Amino acid sequence: MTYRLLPFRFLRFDDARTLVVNETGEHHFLRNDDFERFVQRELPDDSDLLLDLKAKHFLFDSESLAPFELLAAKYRTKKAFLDGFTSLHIFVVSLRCEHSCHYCQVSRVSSDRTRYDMTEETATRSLDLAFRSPAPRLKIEIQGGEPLLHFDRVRQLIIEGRRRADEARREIEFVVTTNLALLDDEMLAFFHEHGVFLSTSLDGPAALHDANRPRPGNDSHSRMTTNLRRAREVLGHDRVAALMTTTRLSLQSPREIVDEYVRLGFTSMFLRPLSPYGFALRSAGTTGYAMRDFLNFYVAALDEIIDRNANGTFLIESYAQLLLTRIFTPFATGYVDLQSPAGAGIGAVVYNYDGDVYASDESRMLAEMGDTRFRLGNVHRDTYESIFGGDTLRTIVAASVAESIPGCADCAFLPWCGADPVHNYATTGDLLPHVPTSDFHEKNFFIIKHLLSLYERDADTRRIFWSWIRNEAPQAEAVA
Amino acid sequence: MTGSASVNVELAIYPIDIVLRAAHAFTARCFVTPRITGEGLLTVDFTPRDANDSLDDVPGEFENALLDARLRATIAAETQMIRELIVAQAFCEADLLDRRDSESDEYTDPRGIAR
Repeated sequence: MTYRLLPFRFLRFDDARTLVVNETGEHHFLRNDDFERFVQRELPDDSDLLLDLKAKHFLFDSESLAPFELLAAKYRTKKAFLDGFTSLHIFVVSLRCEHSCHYCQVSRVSSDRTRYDMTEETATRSLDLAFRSPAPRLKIEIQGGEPLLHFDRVRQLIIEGRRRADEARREIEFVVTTNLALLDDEMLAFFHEHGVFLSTSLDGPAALHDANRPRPGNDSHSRMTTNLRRAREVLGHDRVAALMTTTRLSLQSPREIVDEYVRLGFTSMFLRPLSPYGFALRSAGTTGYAMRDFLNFYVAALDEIIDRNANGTFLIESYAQLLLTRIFTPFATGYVDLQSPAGAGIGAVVYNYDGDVYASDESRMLAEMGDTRFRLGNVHRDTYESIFGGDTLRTIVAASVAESIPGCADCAFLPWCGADPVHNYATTGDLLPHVPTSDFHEKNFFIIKHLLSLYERDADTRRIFWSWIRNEAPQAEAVA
Repeated sequence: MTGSASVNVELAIYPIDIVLRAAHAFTARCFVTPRITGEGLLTVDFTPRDANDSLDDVPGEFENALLDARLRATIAAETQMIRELIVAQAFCEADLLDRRDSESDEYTDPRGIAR
């Protein structure tokens, strides 16, 4: 019986194996000689490989016919992040911050300049736009600068947002991104009353954290850990998450950084490279590094994290979790840079303190540096239709369809990866990447391939990775 | 030139778009220059971005990349209709028509991507 091919992409994974990935992200490793037989239609009817490839929708024959509807349903599921439009609404209530982090993406201004605070009217108009979004579930993220320096606006957004959501019978969730240094009992009680999540920063042990995150008194780590304990007591342990940023100082300390997350009882950590915006760009000479250096750090830190899990400590690396979920499940993830088209504007949007609306936080960074190309409009002057249906957002979306980007279109990892036109523009001046030299491509291609290699390596790693995908501590028995 | 490499390609075997696709992946490591050098013959010159980089392995890698690029194009052409059907079926409930595209051509850049 002859068979016909269904759409797929392939990668010569190593000297012996070829990886095939179909349009919906299902994948299979083949020996190179088997791959040649597969594409030459020479697989025997009764071979296990033919049945595997048929079951995973790499081929069809007269018995199975083309499973269009099933593949379409899977494709639609993979692209489900498009459904509902913009769900994450980020409010920059103030640019002020009492920290002066070398890598800060926010390009903060000193904490006494109230002209960089969001007004009550701007917050109200921004909420008007957020509630025009058709997304069934809204997430309001309040950030700065340091948003606790402008707590009146934080309070207004949460109270008013909750009231509007209740009236419209819509689901809503609030996250406040804060360094925790200024957290007091009144704020905690308010957050508890309104079920607010906190997202904070932890770069590692005290010496590293304080070096990365200077503030008056040089006590960022001490304040953060003290207030982390208080916040967990009042809000609940899992209501506070942390992100880390990798500086040049961090590169030598993967084990110490992982140790610190374990010591403080976190169950997840997000290994993030520096972004080419704001102070990170201005201080690149002192804090920056090549992507290759970050990837070496990532591999070492990931090994440490896997070791901790193997020894009974449940700790997720969040970027790996995102990618593993995309690789091994049919589901979409909400991470804007791992989507095609990218989620800038259509998945997340930023309302700046002055009422300007940006497609992403990175777009806002560029504007702070003098380039307003990605400003979608202003809450005081423009309508929802002109902001979210205008040429600026259409251009961003069109430039972020990875299926049409040279170098991405043929990549086997495309169904798991994404595009970031704002990053491309910030680093090269072009919305479209030059994939062979793109650090975005270098990072994602390397990490995806590394995760697949680890997954193939042994049953223990597979068990740990599945526990990350399920977001629960691993079961005792191994997953084959 | 020291450290450079060249590969001759029969256009009867590899159409030019296949050659250019295969060559694109080498542009991180090399400056790549395709030249017509005879009837039905293309020569691709590779010059290292890093003067210390030996390109001894590039001709062999490029010839394998040509084979893979051609196979990718064959698979893409063979499965194009199925791919389009899958996407159309997946989004059949959405109105995806953008009139600006249907009322323009490849020179007008209605979305302003090249601006």
